Amino acid sequence: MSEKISRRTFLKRSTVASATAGILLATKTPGYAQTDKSDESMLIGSLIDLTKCDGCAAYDTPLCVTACRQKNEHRFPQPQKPIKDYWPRKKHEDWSNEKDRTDRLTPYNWTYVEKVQVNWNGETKEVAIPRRCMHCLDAPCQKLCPFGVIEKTKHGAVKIDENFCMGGAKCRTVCPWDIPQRQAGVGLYMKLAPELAGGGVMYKCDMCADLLEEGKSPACETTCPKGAIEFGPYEQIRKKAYERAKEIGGFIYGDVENSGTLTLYVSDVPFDKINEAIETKKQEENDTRFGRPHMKPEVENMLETTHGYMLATLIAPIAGAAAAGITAYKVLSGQKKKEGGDAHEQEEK
Amino acid sequence: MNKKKNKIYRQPLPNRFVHWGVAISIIMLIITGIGQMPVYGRYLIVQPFGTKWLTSYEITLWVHYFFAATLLFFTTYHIVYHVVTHISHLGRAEQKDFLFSFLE
Ligand code: SF4
Ligand code: SF4
Ligand code: SF4
Repeated sequence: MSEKISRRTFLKRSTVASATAGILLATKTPGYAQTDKSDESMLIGSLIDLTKCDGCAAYDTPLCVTACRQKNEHRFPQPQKPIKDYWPRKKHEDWSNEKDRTDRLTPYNWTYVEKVQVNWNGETKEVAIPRRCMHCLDAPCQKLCPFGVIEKTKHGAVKIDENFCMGGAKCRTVCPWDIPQRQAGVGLYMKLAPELAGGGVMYKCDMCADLLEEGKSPACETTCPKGAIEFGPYEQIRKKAYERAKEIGGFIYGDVENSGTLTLYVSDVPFDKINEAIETKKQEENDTRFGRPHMKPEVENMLETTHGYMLATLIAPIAGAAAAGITAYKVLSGQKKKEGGDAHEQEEK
Repeated sequence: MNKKKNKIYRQPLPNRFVHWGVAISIIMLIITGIGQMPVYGRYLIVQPFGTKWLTSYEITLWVHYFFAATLLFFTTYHIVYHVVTHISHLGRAEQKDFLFSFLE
Protein backbone atom coordinates (compact mmCIF):
# COMPACT_ATOMS: atom_id res chain seq x y z
CA MET A 1 0.00 0.00 0.00
CA SER A 2 1.44 3.35 -0.96
CA GLU A 3 2.13 6.09 1.52
CA LYS A 4 -0.28 8.32 -0.38
CA ILE A 5 -3.31 6.14 0.11
CA SER A 6 -2.82 5.58 3.79
CA ARG A 7 -2.31 9.28 4.32
CA ARG A 8 -5.41 10.21 2.37
CA THR A 9 -7.38 7.57 4.20
CA PHE A 10 -6.07 8.87 7.47
CA LEU A 11 -7.07 12.43 6.63
CA LYS A 12 -10.54 11.40 5.53
CA ARG A 13 -10.98 9.26 8.59
CA SER A 14 -9.86 11.94 11.00
CA THR A 15 -12.11 14.66 9.56
CA VAL A 16 -15.11 12.37 9.42
CA ALA A 17 -14.38 11.06 12.88
CA SER A 18 -13.98 14.43 14.52
CA ALA A 19 -17.04 15.91 12.81
CA THR A 20 -19.12 12.88 13.71
CA ALA A 21 -17.83 12.77 17.27
CA GLY A 22 -18.65 16.45 17.74
CA ILE A 23 -22.19 16.05 16.50
CA LEU A 24 -22.77 12.82 18.35
CA LEU A 25 -21.51 14.32 21.59
CA ALA A 26 -23.95 17.15 21.22
CA THR A 27 -26.86 15.03 20.09
CA LYS A 28 -26.32 11.64 21.66
CA THR A 29 -29.92 10.85 22.45
CA PRO A 30 -30.90 8.44 25.22
CA GLY A 31 -32.03 6.05 22.49
CA TYR A 32 -28.55 5.82 21.04
CA ALA A 33 -26.86 5.80 24.40
CA GLN A 34 -28.80 2.75 25.50
CA THR A 35 -27.93 0.60 22.51
CA ASP A 36 -24.43 1.89 21.73
CA LYS A 37 -22.21 0.61 24.51
CA SER A 38 -19.03 0.68 22.46
CA ASP A 39 -15.91 1.88 24.20
CA GLU A 40 -13.30 3.33 21.86
CA SER A 41 -10.41 1.82 23.79
CA MET A 42 -11.95 -1.66 23.76
CA LEU A 43 -12.89 -2.05 20.10
CA ILE A 44 -12.10 -5.41 18.53
CA GLY A 45 -11.23 -5.40 14.86
CA SER A 46 -10.63 -8.23 12.44
CA LEU A 47 -8.19 -8.74 9.62
CA ILE A 48 -9.23 -11.09 6.81
CA ASP A 49 -6.21 -11.85 4.68
CA LEU A 50 -7.35 -12.93 1.22
CA THR A 51 -3.82 -13.96 0.28
CA LYS A 52 -4.02 -16.65 2.97
CA CYS A 53 -7.60 -17.89 2.56
CA ASP A 54 -7.97 -20.60 -0.09
CA GLY A 55 -11.69 -21.10 0.54
CA CYS A 56 -10.84 -24.39 2.26
CA ALA A 57 -10.25 -26.05 -1.11
CA ALA A 58 -9.67 -29.39 0.64
CA TYR A 59 -13.07 -29.42 2.35
CA ASP A 60 -16.68 -29.58 1.13
CA THR A 61 -17.65 -26.64 3.29
CA PRO A 62 -15.21 -23.96 4.45
CA LEU A 63 -14.28 -24.59 8.06
CA CYS A 64 -15.09 -21.07 9.20
CA VAL A 65 -18.63 -21.49 7.83
CA THR A 66 -19.12 -24.85 9.55
CA ALA A 67 -17.76 -23.49 12.83
CA CYS A 68 -20.09 -20.49 12.72
CA ARG A 69 -23.10 -22.72 12.00
CA GLN A 70 -22.27 -25.08 14.84
CA LYS A 71 -21.69 -22.30 17.28
CA ASN A 72 -24.94 -20.52 16.47
CA GLU A 73 -27.23 -23.42 15.62
CA HIS A 74 -29.19 -23.15 18.85
CA ARG A 75 -30.20 -19.63 17.87
CA PHE A 76 -31.40 -20.44 14.37
CA PRO A 77 -35.09 -19.70 13.69
CA GLN A 78 -37.76 -22.35 14.11
CA PRO A 79 -40.75 -20.84 12.34
CA GLN A 80 -44.35 -21.84 13.00
CA LYS A 81 -45.85 -23.23 9.83
CA PRO A 82 -47.71 -22.44 7.67
CA ILE A 83 -46.00 -19.08 7.35
CA LYS A 84 -48.34 -16.23 6.46
CA ASP A 85 -47.74 -13.53 3.86
CA TYR A 86 -46.86 -9.96 4.78
CA TRP A 87 -50.34 -8.47 4.35
CA PRO A 88 -51.23 -6.73 2.04
CA ARG A 89 -48.30 -8.14 0.04
CA LYS A 90 -48.47 -11.64 -1.34
CA LYS A 91 -45.04 -12.74 -0.24
CA HIS A 92 -42.90 -13.59 2.76
CA GLU A 93 -39.25 -14.46 3.28
CA ASP A 94 -38.70 -18.06 4.21
CA TRP A 95 -35.33 -19.83 4.29
CA SER A 96 -36.43 -22.73 6.47
CA ASN A 97 -36.47 -25.10 3.49
CA GLU A 98 -32.93 -24.10 2.56
CA LYS A 99 -31.31 -24.47 5.98
CA ASP A 100 -28.35 -26.35 4.54
CA ARG A 101 -27.27 -23.63 2.15
CA THR A 102 -23.73 -22.47 2.83
CA ASP A 103 -23.22 -20.51 -0.38
CA ARG A 104 -24.77 -17.23 0.80
CA LEU A 105 -25.93 -15.34 3.89
CA THR A 106 -29.25 -16.63 5.22
CA PRO A 107 -30.89 -16.65 8.66
CA TYR A 108 -29.29 -20.11 8.98
CA ASN A 109 -25.87 -19.15 7.67
CA TRP A 110 -24.20 -16.03 8.99
CA THR A 111 -20.97 -16.28 7.03
CA TYR A 112 -20.12 -17.76 3.63
CA VAL A 113 -17.17 -17.76 1.27
CA GLU A 114 -17.62 -16.17 -2.16
CA LYS A 115 -15.27 -17.70 -4.70
CA VAL A 116 -14.45 -15.79 -7.89
CA GLN A 117 -11.88 -15.64 -10.63
CA VAL A 118 -10.24 -12.28 -11.14
CA ASN A 119 -8.11 -11.20 -14.08
CA TRP A 120 -5.29 -9.05 -12.79
CA ASN A 121 -1.79 -8.31 -14.07
CA GLY A 122 -2.25 -10.70 -16.97
CA GLU A 123 -3.12 -13.66 -14.75
CA THR A 124 -6.37 -15.28 -13.71
CA LYS A 125 -6.48 -15.60 -9.95
CA GLU A 126 -8.82 -17.59 -7.75
CA VAL A 127 -9.98 -15.41 -4.88
CA ALA A 128 -11.98 -16.71 -1.91
CA ILE A 129 -13.66 -14.05 0.19
CA PRO A 130 -15.20 -14.94 3.57
CA ARG A 131 -18.19 -12.61 4.00
CA ARG A 132 -20.26 -11.58 6.99
CA CYS A 133 -21.29 -8.40 8.82
CA MET A 134 -18.51 -5.78 8.71
CA HIS A 135 -19.34 -4.36 12.17
CA CYS A 136 -19.33 -0.74 11.11
CA LEU A 137 -17.95 2.02 13.32
CA ASP A 138 -20.94 4.24 12.48
CA ALA A 139 -23.49 1.48 11.88
CA PRO A 140 -26.67 2.68 10.15
CA CYS A 141 -28.48 -0.57 11.02
CA GLN A 142 -27.88 -0.02 14.72
CA LYS A 143 -28.67 3.69 14.75
CA LEU A 144 -31.79 3.49 12.62
CA CYS A 145 -33.55 0.39 13.96
CA PRO A 146 -37.03 1.78 14.73
CA PHE A 147 -37.41 -0.55 17.70
CA GLY A 148 -33.92 0.06 19.12
CA VAL A 149 -33.12 -3.65 19.33
CA ILE A 150 -29.69 -3.55 17.69
CA GLU A 151 -26.95 -3.18 20.23
CA LYS A 152 -23.29 -2.30 19.93
CA THR A 153 -21.28 -4.07 22.60
CA LYS A 154 -18.31 -2.46 24.31
CA HIS A 155 -16.12 -4.28 21.79
CA GLY A 156 -18.03 -2.68 18.90
CA ALA A 157 -19.85 -5.87 17.88
CA VAL A 158 -23.19 -5.05 16.27
CA LYS A 159 -25.78 -7.46 17.61
CA ILE A 160 -29.47 -7.91 16.82
CA ASP A 161 -31.72 -8.97 19.70
CA GLU A 162 -33.70 -11.83 18.17
CA ASN A 163 -36.23 -11.75 21.00
CA PHE A 164 -37.45 -8.26 20.22
CA CYS A 165 -36.74 -7.83 16.51
CA MET A 166 -39.96 -7.23 14.54
CA GLY A 167 -38.44 -8.12 11.19
CA GLY A 168 -39.25 -4.90 9.32
CA ALA A 169 -35.89 -5.36 7.56
CA LYS A 170 -34.98 -1.68 7.78
CA CYS A 171 -31.50 -2.72 8.96
CA ARG A 172 -31.00 -4.60 5.70
CA THR A 173 -32.22 -1.65 3.63
CA VAL A 174 -29.87 0.83 5.30
CA CYS A 175 -26.88 -1.55 5.32
CA PRO A 176 -24.80 -0.90 2.20
CA TRP A 177 -24.20 -4.66 1.90
CA ASP A 178 -27.75 -5.87 2.75
CA ILE A 179 -26.22 -8.08 5.45
CA PRO A 180 -29.03 -8.98 7.91
CA GLN A 181 -31.30 -11.74 6.54
CA ARG A 182 -34.95 -12.27 7.43
CA GLN A 183 -36.90 -15.32 8.45
CA ALA A 184 -40.70 -15.06 8.65
CA GLY A 185 -42.86 -16.99 11.11
CA VAL A 186 -40.69 -16.38 14.18
CA GLY A 187 -40.21 -13.72 16.82
CA LEU A 188 -42.20 -11.13 18.67
CA TYR A 189 -44.59 -10.25 15.85
CA MET A 190 -46.09 -13.74 15.96
CA LYS A 191 -47.42 -12.89 19.44
CA LEU A 192 -48.82 -9.49 18.40
CA ALA A 193 -50.63 -9.17 15.08
CA PRO A 194 -48.82 -11.53 12.74
CA GLU A 195 -51.32 -10.99 9.94
CA LEU A 196 -50.96 -7.24 9.94
CA ALA A 197 -47.53 -6.11 11.10
CA GLY A 198 -43.98 -7.37 11.43
CA GLY A 199 -42.10 -9.73 9.21
CA GLY A 200 -40.02 -12.11 11.31
CA VAL A 201 -36.55 -11.78 12.74
CA MET A 202 -33.30 -10.55 11.20
CA TYR A 203 -30.17 -12.66 11.61
CA LYS A 204 -26.49 -11.95 11.06
CA CYS A 205 -23.00 -12.43 12.51
CA ASP A 206 -22.67 -10.91 15.98
CA MET A 207 -18.86 -11.21 16.09
CA CYS A 208 -19.34 -14.01 18.61
CA ALA A 209 -20.01 -11.30 21.18
CA ASP A 210 -20.43 -13.88 23.96
CA LEU A 211 -16.98 -15.35 23.31
CA LEU A 212 -15.38 -11.89 23.15
CA GLU A 213 -17.02 -11.13 26.49
CA GLU A 214 -15.22 -14.16 27.96
CA GLY A 215 -11.95 -13.03 26.40
CA LYS A 216 -12.07 -15.85 23.82
CA SER A 217 -11.73 -15.73 20.04
CA PRO A 218 -14.65 -16.02 17.60
CA ALA A 219 -15.35 -19.51 16.23
CA CYS A 220 -14.42 -18.68 12.64
CA GLU A 221 -10.98 -17.47 13.70
CA THR A 222 -10.13 -20.50 15.81
CA THR A 223 -11.05 -23.04 13.13
CA CYS A 224 -9.39 -21.42 10.13
CA PRO A 225 -6.50 -23.70 9.17
CA LYS A 226 -4.73 -20.92 7.27
CA GLY A 227 -4.79 -18.21 9.88
CA ALA A 228 -6.64 -16.01 7.41
CA ILE A 229 -8.98 -14.51 10.01
CA GLU A 230 -7.54 -12.62 12.94
CA PHE A 231 -9.40 -10.70 15.64
CA GLY A 232 -7.68 -8.29 18.01
CA PRO A 233 -7.58 -4.76 19.43
CA TYR A 234 -8.82 -2.55 16.60
CA GLU A 235 -5.90 -0.11 16.34
CA GLN A 236 -3.41 -2.98 16.35
CA ILE A 237 -5.37 -4.86 13.68
CA ARG A 238 -5.58 -1.73 11.59
CA LYS A 239 -1.85 -1.15 11.80
CA LYS A 240 -1.22 -4.74 10.91
CA ALA A 241 -3.57 -4.54 7.91
CA TYR A 242 -1.67 -1.56 6.51
CA GLU A 243 1.68 -3.21 7.13
CA ARG A 244 0.54 -6.38 5.39
CA ALA A 245 -0.87 -4.39 2.45
CA LYS A 246 2.42 -2.53 2.12
CA GLU A 247 4.39 -5.75 2.26
CA ILE A 248 2.46 -7.35 -0.61
CA GLY A 249 1.74 -4.16 -2.57
CA GLY A 250 -1.92 -4.87 -1.93
CA PHE A 251 -5.21 -3.25 -1.11
CA ILE A 252 -7.53 -2.76 1.85
CA TYR A 253 -11.30 -2.99 2.07
CA GLY A 254 -13.34 -1.82 5.05
CA ASP A 255 -11.29 1.09 6.33
CA VAL A 256 -13.10 3.86 4.46
CA GLU A 257 -16.15 1.91 3.29
CA ASN A 258 -19.36 2.96 5.03
CA SER A 259 -17.25 5.50 7.00
CA GLY A 260 -15.00 2.75 8.36
CA THR A 261 -15.67 -0.72 9.75
CA LEU A 262 -14.04 -3.00 12.28
CA THR A 263 -13.41 -5.55 9.52
CA LEU A 264 -10.41 -5.03 7.26
CA TYR A 265 -9.80 -7.17 4.20
CA VAL A 266 -6.32 -7.28 2.69
CA SER A 267 -5.85 -8.52 -0.87
CA ASP A 268 -3.23 -8.49 -3.58
CA VAL A 269 -5.87 -7.85 -6.24
CA PRO A 270 -7.83 -4.59 -6.27
CA PHE A 271 -11.29 -4.70 -4.73
CA ASP A 272 -13.02 -3.10 -7.71
CA LYS A 273 -11.88 -6.14 -9.72
CA ILE A 274 -13.20 -8.46 -7.05
CA ASN A 275 -16.46 -6.54 -6.98
CA GLU A 276 -16.79 -6.78 -10.77
CA ALA A 277 -16.20 -10.51 -10.61
CA ILE A 278 -18.87 -10.96 -7.91
CA GLU A 279 -21.41 -8.90 -9.84
CA THR A 280 -20.71 -10.76 -13.08
CA LYS A 281 -21.03 -14.12 -11.37
CA LYS A 282 -24.34 -13.15 -9.79
CA GLN A 283 -25.64 -11.95 -13.14
CA GLU A 284 -24.59 -15.14 -14.89
CA GLU A 285 -26.35 -17.18 -12.24
CA ASN A 286 -29.34 -14.85 -12.42
CA ASP A 287 -29.08 -14.41 -8.66
CA THR A 288 -31.04 -11.40 -7.43
CA ARG A 289 -31.83 -12.53 -3.88
CA PHE A 290 -30.21 -10.96 -0.83
CA GLY A 291 -27.18 -12.53 0.81
CA ARG A 292 -24.29 -12.18 -1.60
CA PRO A 293 -22.89 -8.73 -0.82
CA HIS A 294 -20.95 -6.62 -3.30
CA MET A 295 -17.47 -5.24 -2.61
CA LYS A 296 -17.79 -1.75 -4.05
CA PRO A 297 -14.83 0.34 -2.98
CA GLU A 298 -15.63 3.48 -0.96
CA VAL A 299 -19.30 2.68 -0.62
CA GLU A 300 -20.94 5.58 1.24
CA ASN A 301 -22.60 5.71 4.62
CA MET A 302 -26.14 7.09 4.41
CA LEU A 303 -25.75 8.66 7.87
CA GLU A 304 -22.95 10.94 6.73
CA THR A 305 -25.30 13.43 5.06
CA THR A 306 -27.76 13.04 7.91
CA HIS A 307 -25.18 14.16 10.48
CA GLY A 308 -25.11 17.48 8.64
CA TYR A 309 -28.87 17.80 9.00
CA MET A 310 -28.59 16.99 12.70
CA LEU A 311 -26.19 19.90 12.99
CA ALA A 312 -28.84 22.11 11.40
CA THR A 313 -31.28 21.22 14.18
CA LEU A 314 -28.72 22.53 16.70
CA ILE A 315 -28.40 25.85 14.90
CA ALA A 316 -32.14 26.29 14.31
CA PRO A 317 -33.06 27.66 17.77
CA ILE A 318 -30.28 30.24 17.54
CA ALA A 319 -31.47 31.30 14.10
CA GLY A 320 -35.06 31.44 15.40
CA ALA A 321 -34.09 33.63 18.34
CA ALA A 322 -32.09 35.96 16.10
CA ALA A 323 -34.92 36.33 13.59
CA ALA A 324 -37.40 36.98 16.43
CA GLY A 325 -35.14 39.61 17.92
CA ILE A 326 -34.87 41.43 14.61
CA THR A 327 -38.62 41.30 13.93
CA ALA A 328 -39.42 42.41 17.48
CA TYR A 329 -37.01 45.30 17.14
CA LYS A 330 -38.56 46.38 13.86
CA VAL A 331 -42.11 46.14 15.16
CA LEU A 332 -41.24 47.97 18.36
CA SER A 333 -39.36 50.78 16.68
CA GLY A 334 -42.24 51.07 14.18
CA GLN A 335 -44.66 51.39 17.09
CA LYS A 336 -42.57 54.07 18.68
CA LYS A 337 -42.85 56.11 15.51
CA LYS A 338 -46.61 55.62 15.48
CA GLU A 339 -46.57 56.47 19.17
CA GLY A 340 -48.39 53.52 20.58
CA GLY A 341 -50.37 52.74 17.42
CA ASP A 342 -52.18 49.44 16.98
CA ALA A 343 -49.79 46.56 16.74
CA HIS A 344 -52.23 44.63 14.60
CA GLU A 345 -51.39 45.69 11.15
CA GLN A 346 -53.69 46.13 8.24
CA GLU A 347 -52.12 44.91 5.07
CA GLU A 348 -53.01 46.44 1.78
CA LYS A 349 -51.74 44.70 -1.28
CA MET B 1 -62.88 46.19 -6.02
CA ASN B 2 -61.17 42.92 -5.53
CA LYS B 3 -61.92 41.39 -2.12
CA LYS B 4 -58.33 40.22 -1.71
CA LYS B 5 -57.03 43.73 -2.03
CA ASN B 6 -58.48 44.91 1.22
CA LYS B 7 -58.15 41.84 3.32
CA ILE B 8 -58.01 42.50 7.05
CA TYR B 9 -55.97 39.94 8.95
CA ARG B 10 -57.05 38.86 12.40
CA GLN B 11 -53.43 38.05 13.27
CA PRO B 12 -50.31 40.14 12.70
CA LEU B 13 -47.67 38.87 10.30
CA PRO B 14 -45.28 37.32 12.88
CA ASN B 15 -48.15 35.24 14.31
CA ARG B 16 -49.23 33.97 10.88
CA PHE B 17 -45.62 33.20 10.03
CA VAL B 18 -45.26 31.10 13.18
CA HIS B 19 -48.68 29.47 12.84
CA TRP B 20 -48.09 28.12 9.35
CA GLY B 21 -44.44 27.33 9.97
CA VAL B 22 -45.32 25.22 13.00
CA ALA B 23 -48.31 23.57 11.28
CA ILE B 24 -46.36 22.54 8.18
CA SER B 25 -43.36 21.38 10.23
CA ILE B 26 -45.48 19.17 12.48
CA ILE B 27 -47.41 17.61 9.59
CA MET B 28 -44.18 16.85 7.73
CA LEU B 29 -42.56 15.49 10.90
CA ILE B 30 -45.46 13.07 11.33
CA ILE B 31 -45.38 11.96 7.70
CA THR B 32 -41.60 11.46 7.58
CA GLY B 33 -41.51 10.05 11.12
CA ILE B 34 -43.90 7.30 10.07
CA GLY B 35 -41.53 6.84 7.14
CA GLN B 36 -38.85 5.75 9.62
CA MET B 37 -40.97 2.69 10.35
CA PRO B 38 -41.11 -0.06 7.75
CA VAL B 39 -44.58 1.08 6.73
CA TYR B 40 -44.89 2.84 3.37
CA GLY B 41 -42.94 0.21 1.45
CA ARG B 42 -45.20 -2.53 2.74
CA TYR B 43 -48.69 -1.05 2.97
CA LEU B 44 -48.76 1.37 0.04
CA ILE B 45 -49.89 -1.24 -2.47
CA VAL B 46 -50.89 1.51 -4.85
CA GLN B 47 -48.14 4.08 -4.88
CA PRO B 48 -49.91 7.45 -5.26
CA PHE B 49 -48.20 9.75 -7.73
CA GLY B 50 -45.29 11.66 -6.22
CA THR B 51 -44.99 9.57 -3.04
CA LYS B 52 -42.18 7.23 -4.06
CA TRP B 53 -39.73 9.23 -1.92
CA LEU B 54 -41.64 8.17 1.19
CA THR B 55 -40.32 4.62 0.78
CA SER B 56 -36.69 5.80 1.03
CA TYR B 57 -35.46 5.78 4.63
CA GLU B 58 -32.63 8.04 3.57
CA ILE B 59 -34.77 10.78 2.00
CA THR B 60 -37.43 10.72 4.72
CA LEU B 61 -34.69 10.97 7.34
CA TRP B 62 -33.22 14.06 5.68
CA VAL B 63 -36.65 15.65 5.35
CA HIS B 64 -37.41 14.74 8.98
CA TYR B 65 -34.31 16.55 10.22
CA PHE B 66 -35.09 19.49 7.96
CA PHE B 67 -38.53 19.96 9.52
CA ALA B 68 -37.14 19.29 13.01
CA ALA B 69 -34.93 22.30 12.35
CA THR B 70 -37.81 24.45 11.06
CA LEU B 71 -40.01 23.51 14.03
CA LEU B 72 -37.23 24.49 16.45
CA PHE B 73 -36.75 27.69 14.50
CA PHE B 74 -40.42 28.66 14.66
CA THR B 75 -40.90 27.77 18.32
CA THR B 76 -37.87 29.74 19.52
CA TYR B 77 -38.94 32.55 17.22
CA HIS B 78 -42.38 32.53 18.85
CA ILE B 79 -41.06 32.50 22.41
CA VAL B 80 -38.37 35.13 21.92
CA TYR B 81 -40.64 37.42 19.91
CA HIS B 82 -43.41 37.42 22.50
CA VAL B 83 -41.10 37.75 25.48
CA VAL B 84 -39.29 40.71 23.91
CA THR B 85 -42.44 42.54 22.81
CA HIS B 86 -44.16 41.79 26.12
CA ILE B 87 -41.28 43.17 28.20
CA SER B 88 -40.96 46.27 26.10
CA HIS B 89 -44.60 47.19 26.80
CA LEU B 90 -44.03 47.15 30.53
CA GLY B 91 -42.78 49.92 32.76
CA ARG B 92 -39.37 49.67 34.44
CA ALA B 93 -40.68 48.20 37.70
CA GLU B 94 -42.94 45.74 35.89
CA GLN B 95 -40.06 44.64 33.70
CA LYS B 96 -38.10 43.83 36.83
CA ASP B 97 -41.04 41.91 38.27
CA PHE B 98 -41.46 39.98 35.05
CA LEU B 99 -37.84 38.91 34.95
CA PHE B 100 -37.75 38.01 38.64
CA SER B 101 -40.96 35.99 38.31
CA PHE B 102 -38.86 33.40 36.44
CA LEU B 103 -36.43 33.09 39.30
CA GLU B 104 -38.95 32.59 42.07
S1 SF4 C 1 -11.05 -18.12 6.09
FE1 SF4 C 1 -9.94 -19.98 6.68
S2 SF4 C 1 -11.57 -21.40 7.27
FE2 SF4 C 1 -12.54 -19.79 6.07
S3 SF4 C 1 -12.52 -20.52 3.98
FE3 SF4 C 1 -10.68 -19.31 4.24
S4 SF4 C 1 -9.12 -20.79 4.77
FE4 SF4 C 1 -11.07 -21.80 5.14
S1 SF4 D 1 -22.26 -4.29 7.77
FE1 SF4 D 1 -24.44 -3.80 7.65
S2 SF4 D 1 -25.37 -5.08 9.20
FE2 SF4 D 1 -23.17 -5.03 9.67
S3 SF4 D 1 -22.90 -3.30 11.11
FE3 SF4 D 1 -22.57 -2.48 9.05
S4 SF4 D 1 -24.60 -1.70 8.47
FE4 SF4 D 1 -24.94 -3.11 10.16
S1 SF4 E 1 -17.57 -13.92 14.31
FE1 SF4 E 1 -18.85 -15.62 15.06
S2 SF4 E 1 -20.88 -15.14 14.26
FE2 SF4 E 1 -19.43 -13.94 13.07
S3 SF4 E 1 -18.90 -15.17 11.30
FE3 SF4 E 1 -17.35 -15.62 12.86
S4 SF4 E 1 -18.18 -17.40 13.91
FE4 SF4 E 1 -19.89 -16.52 12.78
